[in-house]
Amino acid sequence: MMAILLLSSVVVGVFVGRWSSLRLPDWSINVVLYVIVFLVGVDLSKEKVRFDVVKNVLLSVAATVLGTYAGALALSFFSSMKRFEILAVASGFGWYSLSAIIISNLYSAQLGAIAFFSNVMRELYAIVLTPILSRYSKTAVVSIAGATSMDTLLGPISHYTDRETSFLAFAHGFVVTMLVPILVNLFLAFR
Amino acid sequence: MLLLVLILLFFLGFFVGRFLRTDWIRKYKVLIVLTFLLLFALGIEIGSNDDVVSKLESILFSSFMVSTFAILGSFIFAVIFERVSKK
Repeated sequence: MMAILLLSSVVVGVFVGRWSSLRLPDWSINVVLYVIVFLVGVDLSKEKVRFDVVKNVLLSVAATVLGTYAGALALSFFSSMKRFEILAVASGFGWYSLSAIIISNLYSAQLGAIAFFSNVMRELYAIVLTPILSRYSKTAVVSIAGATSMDTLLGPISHYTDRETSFLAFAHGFVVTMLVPILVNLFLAFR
Repeated sequence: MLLLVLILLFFLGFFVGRFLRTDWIRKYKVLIVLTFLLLFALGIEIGSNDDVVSKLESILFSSFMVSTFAILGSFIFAVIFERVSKK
């Protein structure tokens, strides 16, 4: 139910942006993001930091990266897209703004647009699936979110799971986010 | 730059929060409400970009395929890793 509400706020935004002249200033998305991340930090401050979490973070980062590439490789056997194109697009891990900008600058505007949408869709998938899958596997929810587990999805993840998973989500998103520019460039170098 | 600000804010909140009451964040579902706002702003950004809208149809299919396979792979690997690490 919550997923439908979250998704519809995107859809309403698209229609408002398409058919009205309402525009939000460029900084507004970032400011909301800043407030969310700050408040998640505040919310998590009552939790004791535990260092056995490091192993879980590395494990979930490995699951996210290897799982994403396994899926991308499987797709490359029957897609019209070139293999390195699919891998480069998948390397956005949900960070659509950065991956789209890098790819359209270094490669082509079309692949940049694909990077934008596929990574927006990854985020939307995560929004829809987080309330549903959080009952089944908390770490799978974090892996699906990819890089967005430290920003956009941090709110939903901390709402639907526990504080321990929220910690995992932030640390996981942090590591994956830093990998995005490196891995996108790496696969574009394979053309 | 964005990344740096996010990390600093997270740790600032983490530090400052020790001296504040924090139960209102969960009580009033503050994080979910702010996420609504964030997604609405994202929607406006997509909808108002004419270039993106005109390419929509030819690109959406490829995007859908890549994201679906990426999600499936991540999910399967995360569940496998979770099972293996618990043994």
